Amino acid sequence: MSAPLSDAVAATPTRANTGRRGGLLRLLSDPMGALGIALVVLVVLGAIFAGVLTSHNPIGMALGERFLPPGALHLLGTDQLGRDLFTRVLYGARIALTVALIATSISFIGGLILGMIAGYGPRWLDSFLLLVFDALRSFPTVMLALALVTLVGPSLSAVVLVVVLATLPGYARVVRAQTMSLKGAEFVLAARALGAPTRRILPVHIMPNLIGPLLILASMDIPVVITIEAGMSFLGLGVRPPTPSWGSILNDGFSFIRESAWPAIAGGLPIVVATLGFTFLGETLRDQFDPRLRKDA
Amino acid sequence: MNALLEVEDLTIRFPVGSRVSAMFTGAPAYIEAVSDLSFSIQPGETYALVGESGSGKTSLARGIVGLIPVYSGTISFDGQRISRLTEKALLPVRRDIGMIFQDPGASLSPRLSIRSILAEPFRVHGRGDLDFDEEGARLLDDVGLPASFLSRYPHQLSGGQARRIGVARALALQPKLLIADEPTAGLDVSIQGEMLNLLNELQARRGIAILIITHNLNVVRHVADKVAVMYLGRIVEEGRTADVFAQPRHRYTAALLSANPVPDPDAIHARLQIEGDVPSLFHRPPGCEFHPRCPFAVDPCSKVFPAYASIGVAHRFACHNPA
Amino acid sequence: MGAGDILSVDRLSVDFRTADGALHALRDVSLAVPRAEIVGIVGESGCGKSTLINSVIGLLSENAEVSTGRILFNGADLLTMHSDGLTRLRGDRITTIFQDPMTSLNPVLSIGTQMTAIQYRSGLSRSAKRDRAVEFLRKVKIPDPEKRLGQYPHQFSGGMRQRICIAMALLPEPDLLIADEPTTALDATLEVQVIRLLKDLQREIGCSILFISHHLGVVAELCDRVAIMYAGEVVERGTVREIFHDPRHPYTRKLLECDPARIPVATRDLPTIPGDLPNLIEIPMGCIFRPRCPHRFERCIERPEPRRLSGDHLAACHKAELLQFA
Repeated sequence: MSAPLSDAVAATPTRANTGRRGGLLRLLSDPMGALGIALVVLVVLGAIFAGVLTSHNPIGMALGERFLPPGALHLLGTDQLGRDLFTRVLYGARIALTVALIATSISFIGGLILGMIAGYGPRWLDSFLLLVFDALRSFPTVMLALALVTLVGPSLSAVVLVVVLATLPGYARVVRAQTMSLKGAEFVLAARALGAPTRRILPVHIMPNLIGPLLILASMDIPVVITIEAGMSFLGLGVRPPTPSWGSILNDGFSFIRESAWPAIAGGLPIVVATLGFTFLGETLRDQFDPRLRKDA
Repeated sequence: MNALLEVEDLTIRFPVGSRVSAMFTGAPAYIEAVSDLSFSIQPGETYALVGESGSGKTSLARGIVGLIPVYSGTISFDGQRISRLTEKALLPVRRDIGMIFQDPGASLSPRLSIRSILAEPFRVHGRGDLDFDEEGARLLDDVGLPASFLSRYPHQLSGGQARRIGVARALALQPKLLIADEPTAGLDVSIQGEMLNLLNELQARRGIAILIITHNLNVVRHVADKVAVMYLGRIVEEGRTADVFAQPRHRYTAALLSANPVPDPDAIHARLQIEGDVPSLFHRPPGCEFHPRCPFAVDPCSKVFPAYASIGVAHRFACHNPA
Repeated sequence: MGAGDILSVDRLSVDFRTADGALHALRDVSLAVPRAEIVGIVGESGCGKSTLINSVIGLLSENAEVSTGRILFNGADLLTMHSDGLTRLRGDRITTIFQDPMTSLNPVLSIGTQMTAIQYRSGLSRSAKRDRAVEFLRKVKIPDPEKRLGQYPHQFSGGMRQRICIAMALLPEPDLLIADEPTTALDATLEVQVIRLLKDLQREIGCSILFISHHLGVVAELCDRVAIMYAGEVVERGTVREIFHDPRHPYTRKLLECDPARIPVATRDLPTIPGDLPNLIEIPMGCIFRPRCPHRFERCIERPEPRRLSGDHLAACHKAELLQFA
């Protein structure tokens, strides 16, 4: 039964304020959201236009120009092999974002499907899937990475695989919990009473109610993914040199920190920027979503 | 005339806790929400199931449409047995039974437009080819709402409007039976009449049978041809509305009728006051379940559930010491 | 507004700030609760009764604004009172019971803990507080009260929980008990138990009760006086007999007409009040009920002031004197 006030408000002509247009404007009005979007855009543009923004070769060595400090020619200086750090950072962004995009998408879709099956399906299937999820989650990520890389060798695909295995159970559990509570919702009962089969109820009635919260989860997960990739590369378990990855730049910087601080900064700074940007974005999205939902209830 | 809906010796149980622990503790592994219940509805008739919380009336309604499993007994619709059918076999039957849910807002899928919600019955039954703008407008018109509502979303509707959408959806495929679960709950008195008049009109125009589930006796009096009073999963009294209201025989029916405050400050409250609360289904009283609260209980009441006695036309009740 | 009134609401107006403008939830609301009497507020959704209650106990939401009026409790204006003063009154001189017994009690504390905790102002010893708790549980007919003190809310049925809430609200022997739809969620047989309980306890303790409900039968049985609210205004008030036997405002009359319990002959064509609630952001000119009123005429463009028909019977309608026996 609607609250007395909302009945009165319902009597007044409503302005449709659920549009995405309204949402974007609201995001920008929150300083955290604006900052988040700015940082994310910065990283994305850097990755896309890496070739245009610099003319240096990210893997070309120039041993005569090692450990140069930042200057007009090298915005972040050079590393231990004379390679321009700024260029390597921009190309590294491509790795980071590629992993983030691919791995998150796979986890998202996989978690969505498996979570819905676990939540809506028979109890034995749910118990089995829960077992799988919990087993995966109980592995510390580093050990998981070590184990998998031993099997398949270090590469971009290995990183994606590790990230998926590490993050998919998280999505699946959230989806499962939501699905279970939606299963008993009156509108699902109404659909069943009409005769709608499960294969219709899941995509039409249940999934649309899951996507929103899941997207927020994903955007808050991206910093984690970036960190996993960087961490694996740092340990030498990720993309193989000379391909630039923020983690490997950081690792090199760590090794040669007595020679120059700049490689370490060049490796760490983009990780911080990207992580902060996505975190702010995700938190603002979540804040926008919840109070609006509460007001609408 | 053949009954449209026939329910015979229906029992609905819900499993509770683990069967293993039940073996050790002797605690029941299930609760029985509906016990050995029988009734029937004729085509075009309005039948009311009256009961308070815990009476099992909602479980009964859900069992009839196949939303929850039935433990024993049979349900027949239009001569065909529909209990314990597969979902697939049940599909054509679902076209003929429409259901209106208690919480109107909650029964509408929050992320779907009203157009999609009204199109759902058609899509589920293979008529996805229709022009839903036209169909939707027609359905909305039947319940007195303008076609502009098609593009709205459930959270933009008031309670009354959401309720009407629920009715429109239930009527989409021209059902023969409409099950209305508490159609006036939470509605203001000044618009209760709208909902009831709508149901009456639909019946008059289309000859639909209506099963109303409610605890509001005043509504029943005006709208139902027959009424059955439920207590803890059993029908304790059943008959034509006028007969049951004029001469309730079961003590619980009498108490329920007298527990109705009349909007008149000078009315004399010759009330049959019953104390206590409805017992939990975990601890079903033996015999007649009402006996712990009944001021007129006699010895057999705590031992065996009474057999149904009949008086007059189609008026039956189960009481050892009736009024 | 006599000196014998424990609560006196004097021309109260409350607005809510919304995205679409100021929503005028209460306009010029006046009513009085005499000492040791039960006053009922009857109204349907959108009438503002929840806003009124929230104004009295000081629980209005952040976007609410009291634009005019006073709320006098024992002569002191609650609206201008310091928050300390208000806190001292709440839970002691003014107590409340709400509609939903499921959520009114703290689920992780036992009933006994909650019932002794609220006695923190009494200065009694712990065992004395416990005894009082048991005494009041007995008053609300909870069987085996000593044993049940240690139980948790989920171990009680809905009806019992509401009775426990009543016991807790009456423990401090308040001057005013505000009951916001306490029986709406209960079945009929439980509802009459609660009404009888409230009636007996009110007589015993001598407090006043402000009883909000949309259930006319309950109000008729329980209350001494009644105020009828519609869309943010009090359209009529008087003794319970005046309201039910001699209603003078068209909305009151229509409301009584529509109650299925008052319709003697079973009918398939129940009366309703056609139309919708007015827009509370852009209040239409004149009488608030005019668009839906079967008795409207030219003068209704002018907002009617409440007219006194007898000692305590007021109705805000230009035709109030004429609407007798119609």
